[in-house]
Amino acid sequence: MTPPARRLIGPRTARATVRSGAAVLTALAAVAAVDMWAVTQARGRPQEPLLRGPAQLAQAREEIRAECMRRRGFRYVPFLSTYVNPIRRDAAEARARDAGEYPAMRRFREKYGFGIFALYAYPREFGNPQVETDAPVNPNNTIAMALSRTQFAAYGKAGDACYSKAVKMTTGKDVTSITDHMIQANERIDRLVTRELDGDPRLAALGADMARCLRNKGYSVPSGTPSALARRGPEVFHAEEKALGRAMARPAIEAGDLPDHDYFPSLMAADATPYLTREIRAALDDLECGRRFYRAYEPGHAAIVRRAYVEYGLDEWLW
Amino acid sequence: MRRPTALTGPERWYRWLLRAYPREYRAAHGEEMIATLLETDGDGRAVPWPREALALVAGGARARALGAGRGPAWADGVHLGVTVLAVLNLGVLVPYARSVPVWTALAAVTLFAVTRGWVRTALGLVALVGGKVLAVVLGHPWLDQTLLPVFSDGVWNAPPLYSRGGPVAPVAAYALAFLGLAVLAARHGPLRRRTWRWWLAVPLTAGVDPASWLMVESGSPRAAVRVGLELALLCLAVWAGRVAADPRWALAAAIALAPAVVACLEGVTTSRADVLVSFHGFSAGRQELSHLGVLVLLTVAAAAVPLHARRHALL
Repeated sequence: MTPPARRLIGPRTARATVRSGAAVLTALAAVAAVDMWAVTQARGRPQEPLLRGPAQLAQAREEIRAECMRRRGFRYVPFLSTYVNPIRRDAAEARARDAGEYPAMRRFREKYGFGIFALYAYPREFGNPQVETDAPVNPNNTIAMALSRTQFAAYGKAGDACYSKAVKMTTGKDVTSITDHMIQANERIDRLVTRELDGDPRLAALGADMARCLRNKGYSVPSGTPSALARRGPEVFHAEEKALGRAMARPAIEAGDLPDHDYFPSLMAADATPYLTREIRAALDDLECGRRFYRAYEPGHAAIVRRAYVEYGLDEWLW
Repeated sequence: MRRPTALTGPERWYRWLLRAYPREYRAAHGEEMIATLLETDGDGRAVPWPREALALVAGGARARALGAGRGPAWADGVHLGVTVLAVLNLGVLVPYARSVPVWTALAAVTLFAVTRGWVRTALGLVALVGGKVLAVVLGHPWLDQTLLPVFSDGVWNAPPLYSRGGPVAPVAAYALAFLGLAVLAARHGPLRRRTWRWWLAVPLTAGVDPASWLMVESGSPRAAVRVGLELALLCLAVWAGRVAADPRWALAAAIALAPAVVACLEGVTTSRADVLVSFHGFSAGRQELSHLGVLVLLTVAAAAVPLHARRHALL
């Protein structure tokens, strides 16, 4: 039996293989050359300072994020918003409220209550995201919305990793994402408040007076600690807001159109007015009972918030 | 060769109409056919009868179909399908040429290599550009600093590169081209050169990725011409399949259509799983499904007609 003839690699096949290899190598060389040119161009551009003055840490963080995102293949525009909600634009008035001064707090509460349903009744003043404001749009929102679902998931992962790296480099804190960063800073505030304000005997005495007064007016006061007293009023209306949002979203959740989460209610200004009227009444009662308490509590609380935010490199959130 | 000025009226018309026939056929039988036509033209009309003219054009087209149907059907069908995929893959990148110049150029070289029949070269280039496309659709950096999203150049006004639909369909377009070329490379046979006219389809497919292939923007003449060309080519595939009793055009159409079908299936799967599909996804609507239905129907018809047709003898 004759063995089958072996197919030899002829000059034609060898030429084709060499041509193919040369084409791929040339292509790779072209990719590398253009890439190096693009990187040089990108690095050569002068960097405009984002903010001058106290927000340099945040600026450094944004620049680290942008460089990190570039290495991971995504566009990121360093962005720090200097936008201040209209409600905080009268800086002297806002500072007076933070200092717990009765006239300023009363002026606020007479119009906005605790500031919960005012988000719907005065959406522009409180920066409700459902209305257009004069706030500058973060260019990274446009970038994120221009990605496919899969790219967006990769962008989210890269964004968290880069944010975490930037926070570590600028503050030394270990965080996993922006949300985690905010949670950690707020937990730090809670710990400081518990240690420094809840343990203050003068505040405890003023708080006891306030709690007694509120109970006399028919309000439920579950805890008499200073921080719990300050949170009590807003928490009652936050709970109402949350329940309302959940009731509004229930049909869509049950139909499977929305994930089972808490949602903000969709309220027009007119719809929010009855809720706000009740909230204003409760807020004024709360202020009347806590007039002396807030004068002592608010400055300490504002100082703790400032300290924690500076410690966590979130000073751009202070206004 | 006779000078055109020396031609009589009917002869000039017959010579013009005979251009419907392939060049080789004209060289072999052209003069004989002219002589026969002039001889049978009893009434001495300056212009042939429309019926006669139509018969000549149809005969020429049939001759071209039979000529194109020579050689192994599957290899030629795969090559034609890969050519169309190379046109589509290049078209997707054209509006982003300033952001991804090297990849667009490589896709153009790939199309050139495919049309010239340089299978191995095209295979390497498809693997390279396909690898980059995989990286882009998954959002991972690879080889160079292509930053996502890749926005289109000013004149095109196209959405960002591969921002619609899932990752499977764009990768399928390259994977199919790669597999087709790998099969052709394993075959070791010569391939015919494809016409340069395929390059004319590139501007029509500019920015059209598999997920947006089925969408037809209202009021866009480019989209209208593209859809018209698709339908014309598929109708031609059905007709040629019937005349030549050959499935190669159906095979090519199926290969070229596969990424759009994958994109549609992917859209259906993801739209059920993701509430954010309206922002980041693609979901086929009634118009897209109707468009796909027509394309699939014509492809099936092109595949079915050779089963019932006998190869027509030429004249």
